[in-house]
Parts: sequence; C-alpha cells; structure tokens
Amino acid sequence: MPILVIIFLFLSSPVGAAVLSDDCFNCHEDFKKRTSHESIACTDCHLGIKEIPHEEKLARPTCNACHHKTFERYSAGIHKSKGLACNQCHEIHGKKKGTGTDCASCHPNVAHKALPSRGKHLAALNCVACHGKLDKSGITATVTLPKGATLDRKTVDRDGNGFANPAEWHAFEALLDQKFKGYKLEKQYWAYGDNHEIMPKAADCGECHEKRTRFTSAEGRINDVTSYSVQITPRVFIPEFPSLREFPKTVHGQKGVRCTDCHISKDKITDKVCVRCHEQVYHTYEKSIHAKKGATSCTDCHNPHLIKTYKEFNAKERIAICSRCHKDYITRHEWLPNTKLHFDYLECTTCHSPGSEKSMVFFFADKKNNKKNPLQYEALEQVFGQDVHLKSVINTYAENMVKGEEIGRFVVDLKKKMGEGIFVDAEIIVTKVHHDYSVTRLKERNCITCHSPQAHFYNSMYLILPEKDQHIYVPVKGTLLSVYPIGMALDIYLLGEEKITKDDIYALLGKAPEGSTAYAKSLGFKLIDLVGVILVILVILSILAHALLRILVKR
Amino acid sequence: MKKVFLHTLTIRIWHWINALIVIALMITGIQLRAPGVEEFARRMAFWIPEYSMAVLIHKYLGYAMALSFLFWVLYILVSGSFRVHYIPRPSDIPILGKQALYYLFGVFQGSENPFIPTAEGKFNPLQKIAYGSVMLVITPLIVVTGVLFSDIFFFRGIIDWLGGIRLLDALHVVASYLFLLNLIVHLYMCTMGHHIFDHVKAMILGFEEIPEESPSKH
Repeated sequence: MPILVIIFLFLSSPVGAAVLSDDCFNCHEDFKKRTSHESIACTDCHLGIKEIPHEEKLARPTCNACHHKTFERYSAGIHKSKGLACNQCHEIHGKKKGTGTDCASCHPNVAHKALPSRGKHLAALNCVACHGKLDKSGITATVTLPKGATLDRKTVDRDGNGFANPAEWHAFEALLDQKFKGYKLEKQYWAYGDNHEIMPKAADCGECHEKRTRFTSAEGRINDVTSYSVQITPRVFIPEFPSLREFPKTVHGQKGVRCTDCHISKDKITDKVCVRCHEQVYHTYEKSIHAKKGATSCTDCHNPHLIKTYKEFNAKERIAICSRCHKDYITRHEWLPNTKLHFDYLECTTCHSPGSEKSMVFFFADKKNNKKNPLQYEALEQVFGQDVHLKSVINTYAENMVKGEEIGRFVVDLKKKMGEGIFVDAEIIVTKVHHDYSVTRLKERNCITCHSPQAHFYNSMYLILPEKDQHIYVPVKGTLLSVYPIGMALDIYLLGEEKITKDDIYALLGKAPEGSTAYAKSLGFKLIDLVGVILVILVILSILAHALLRILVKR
Repeated sequence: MKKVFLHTLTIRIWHWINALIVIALMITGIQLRAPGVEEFARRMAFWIPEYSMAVLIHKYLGYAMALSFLFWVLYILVSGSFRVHYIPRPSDIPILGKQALYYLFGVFQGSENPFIPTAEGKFNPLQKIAYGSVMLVITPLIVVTGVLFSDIFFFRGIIDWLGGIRLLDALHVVASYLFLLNLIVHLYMCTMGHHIFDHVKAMILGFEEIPEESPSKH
C-alpha cells in the first residue's frame, strides 16, 4: 500500500507534468549544446510554458530569482542605471561557462585623461580598484633575494614591533640595493570587488592617498632561504596626498600660491610650470649635468606640497633626496676614510655643488638608545612655556649673533631640564643653494680641503633654532672650538693641518718674520715631517757616501 | 765555499709578500701625507694612483699588513726562530762594537766581517737591534694605530683614551718615518754580503755561500 501512495504522489507532482527540455530541443536544437546553465531545465527560466507548442510571446526570463545577491549589487551599480541587461555582458547559453565579458570589451583604451600619474596607476591597478565597491584590497611587496642569501626579520622591522614604517622600509630597500645585487622586488596592488557593482563615479584620490579607505593594509614577503612576512604601513607604497588643509602651511601656500597656479592642466607638472616663478634658479640648473641628461625635472627632487622647507632638512634628509636616484652613494665613496661617519655630518652638495655657500650648523639634539634626534619645537615648548623664542632665551644681550659661551651655558641648563642625553650636534650643510651640481669627480679629494681652519665653512657658522612654524638660523660668533669644545671637534678641525706645506718650508728657510727657530717651535706636529724628511735625506746621503767609498776601494 | 741554510721557505715567501705590501703602503702613505706628490709624480711620468684610489689601497693593504704581521709573530714564536735569532745574548756585547767598526771602517780596509751567519744565529747584534725594533716595536705601532683609524667611531673610546686622532696620527706617522729609515738602511745593507747580491740570493734560495777561509786571504 505505501509503495502505491509514493508512486501516485510522484506521478501527480508538477515536475512530472511540466514540459521536458528534450521536448524543447526538438525545435530549438542549438540549445542542446549550451555550455552554461546546462544543469537546469529550459522552463526554470523561461516561465509560462505549460505545453508544446507554447505561446508565441513569452515573458522575459529574469535572472534575479537565482542570482539575487549579484542582482542586488548590480542594481546599486551604474550598469543597471544605464539600462544594461545581464545578457549584454553574459552569454546565458554561452559557450564558456559562467564568464562575463571583461571591462575592456566594452571600454577599450579608456584614456583616463584626468588621472594624474596615469601610467603608474594603470599599470598597477585593475578596474575595480577605483571603479568598484571593494570587498578586499591590499598591497603585497614580494622581495626575492638572490639564491642562498638570507636576511633577518630584524633588518626589515628594526624596532621589532611587527610593523615596518616608511623609514624602516626605505632603509631596507637601500640595503637591498647595496648588498643584494640581483634581488627582485615586485609590488602587487590587489583589489577584489564585484564587477557588477561598478560605481557611477570612480573613487576619488583621497580614498587611497589621504583617508586610506582603500588598500588599507600592506604586506612585505621576503623570500630568502626561508620565507616570512612583515606588515608595512601602506603609506610606503601609496604616498600621502597633499590635502587642502595642510597646503597653507607649505612655503607655496604661505606665499599665496593657489592650486590652479601650478595645476593648469591635468598633466604632470613640468619644469615649464616652475620656471615661471623660479626663473633664475632654473637657468643655472638648465646648464648642469642633471638637466642636460634630461634625467631630472624640478619635481623629481622638490616636492612642492611639502610643509618642511629645505632649510629645515638635516643632512640625512637631504642625502635621502639625492639617494633616491644615487642609491650607491656609500659604495661610490668608499675611498673616503670612515665613509659612513662622513655622511652622518655632511650632505651631498657639501662637496658636489662648489657654487653653494656651506656653513657649519649647530643644533640641539637628544641622544636616546644610541639614536640622535634633533629637538623639536614642541618638546622645547613644554619646558620653556608656550610661544617661547629660544633665541631670546639663549642670547641674553639680544644681539644678532650668539656666542659660543652662550650656547654652552644654554646646553648645561637644558641638560638639567630635559635630561643628560641633550647635546649640541653639528653638521656641514649648504645654507645658500646654487643649482649647479655638475661637479662629480672632484679634484680636491684631499683631506685638507675640509680638515683645516682654512676651510671656509668654519667662518660661516649658524645655530639652528626651531621656532613655532619655522627654523631660524642665528649666526654664531667665535671659533668652532668655542662652540664645540670637545676633543673630536679639535681633532677633525685640525687633522689635515698636521702636514707640513711648502710655505712652512720657505718660512723656515729664513723668510719667517719671527725667525726660523721660533717658527719651527710653532709648527707643533708638523715637526714630525720636518725632522723625518731631514733624517731620511741624511741617511740617504751617508749611504751614498758609504757606497761611493766601497766602490773606490773596490769592496 | 760552504752553504749555510739561513731562511726557511715560509720566511722567504713571507718576506717577499710583506716587501710588496710595505712598498705599496709606503708609496700610498707618502701620497696621503703629501698630496702634492701626485702632481710631481705625474710630471716625472711615474704612474701613481689617484688620491682616492691611494686611500683605498692604503686601507686594504693596511689590513693585509696586519695579517702579515700576525702571521710573522706566530711563525717566529712557534718555529722557535724568535728564541734562536732575535733574543740578545751576553756573547753579543763584545761583537757589537766590532761590528759597528767593521761597517764604518773595516769594510773599506778589506778586513773580514766579525760575524758569520749560521743556522744557529743569523743576525749579528746590530741586526738584532734593527730587526727587533722594526718588527717588535715599530710595525706593531703602525698596525695598531692604522687599525684604530679604520673606524674612528667604533674605536672612539680607545682613541680618546690615547689622546685623540691627532696624537694617533702623529704616532702612526712617526712610526712610519722610523720604518722608512730602517727600510732604506735595510735595502743598502743587503748589498753588504760577500758578493753584492749574496744576501738577496739567500732570501730567494734560502742558503748563502760563505767562504771557508778568511775573506782577506781570498
């Protein structure tokens, strides 16, 4: 009995009663070979067919009965509002299973004229990265080291907080350039969204470059003998966009330059834009190697949206600008004894721009955990109260210059207030820029050029003081040693002077006004050379005499 | 004539390698001390490295010199050569004066060398003083001050304790002048063998031919 009931139920069900697809294929033979939707019956979509032959006019099949989630997203997107139907992209009975056609089949060669840095953006991103609502996005930087090389996690993430900040990552890239020739760095900006939900307007620049709602995370994968990942601040790969809020603080903003003064078109700013105001500088620059080789335009070195002025950059930050291209600067200067030490106190243009004015600059710094950090205004404000003018604190006589003793007294005082790590740091940097950097293989590769009191920057000394919105350069009165009374300074200052010169010798030969003996006494360490050379000459003469006698007596 | 074996193969190889290092260090050292030499050398059509290259050569050959010196110290200590040849003995004292007189006068009069080198003692008392001071005082001083120069920030503690870079520089240079003086005398004295090139030959072949009879009868 129960078996009979089941058979009855089966026979009376609507499936059994509906038109079978095989019956449709009697007329619509082509669709027998359909490659998508092949597992469902014709009547699942083509509703309203009760019998064959069916009515001539049937209702349009709708997709949303099954694909309702996709349909929801599609409904929110621009394609729906433009009246684009599913079958305009998708072949419903298609030859290929489940593929929608790609964007380029309808939108070939979109010029993207309004997109700044067009090439870079188009090469790195897919369409949904900007035009779609994103489900997931991120940046993966894969570093593949040469075979057999290893790199400790600590070389990427120096402070060990599991996160590489821009400074750490840039230092890491510099290290790769120097020590791991043949390494590979591939950056992938991946974005997954639904192609159905294309936004009416592309995401604005700020979503990636300012608010960072897209590409919110970045990961570095280091493939050496083993392989590991480090999280990286996305700012490393997607630069900060200058916001309108910050622009008034930049030098351009302060001088009343408006956005449209430079951004006259959507193209990248060229030198022609800069030259309209910076004519004189540009003409100097035009004749230099940089410009002639066509390798650099103004904006390659200068970022007009930067709040910090050139004056406020310390030597390290200035080197960072040049080393973006001249990455091998350390190896190229290997001839320089104590190379790295030199680059702690000099910038590239200290030597490579003879036309620039160089000065010895002093600034207050704090040494913590073996790291030197220049003191910022905010820190000083906490100690000296709001709106403090350090110059008037240091310079009790309110002159235009500060004296070495005044700086010394101030540091002692500062140490009491801010801790023992406070000290005066010094650098030799360019204070008045000349834009000809053509000098490369310097003839004066000679220690005395800098290591002697004759070096001109010892006569041009400044104390750099952080003020509320800027750094001020206060001229320093006195000698280097009165400002910087430490052994190392004395050594560096006088090191090259220990060598005897032609003038010294002429002076000794009777031309010195104070008499030869007095002059010899004043020579100090130079006497080593004098006595040494005289001894060498004497020994050679005696040997010659000895040899001559031996020849004469035939021995 | 009898053959006296004086220099082991190891010492001979070391000597010539060390000689090359010293000569290169001397030339580049002079250039670093007096950069004007470069211009002068060019005018005389001598090849001389550029200043920057000279700095590099001096630095790396300096390291080589340090290694060479370490090797020599270990070798003479382990082989026993130090004990045999370098330590002054009471018997050296009477020869000291005679030796000096021989170099100053005797050699012109045809008198015989009061010292005959043997495998049991190859240096006369004057040589012991000269080689001893060069190898045990001057060279270590040059090597140590040179190594300290290689990274003044790393060695800053020691350098400050010694009295600063200028003093370090002075020590390095004074020691170098003393070395140079010794080198000049050494180059001349190597012609003072029985025949002019005998000592040089000995440093290449290891043994020296010494007349069995007294040289005056020769």
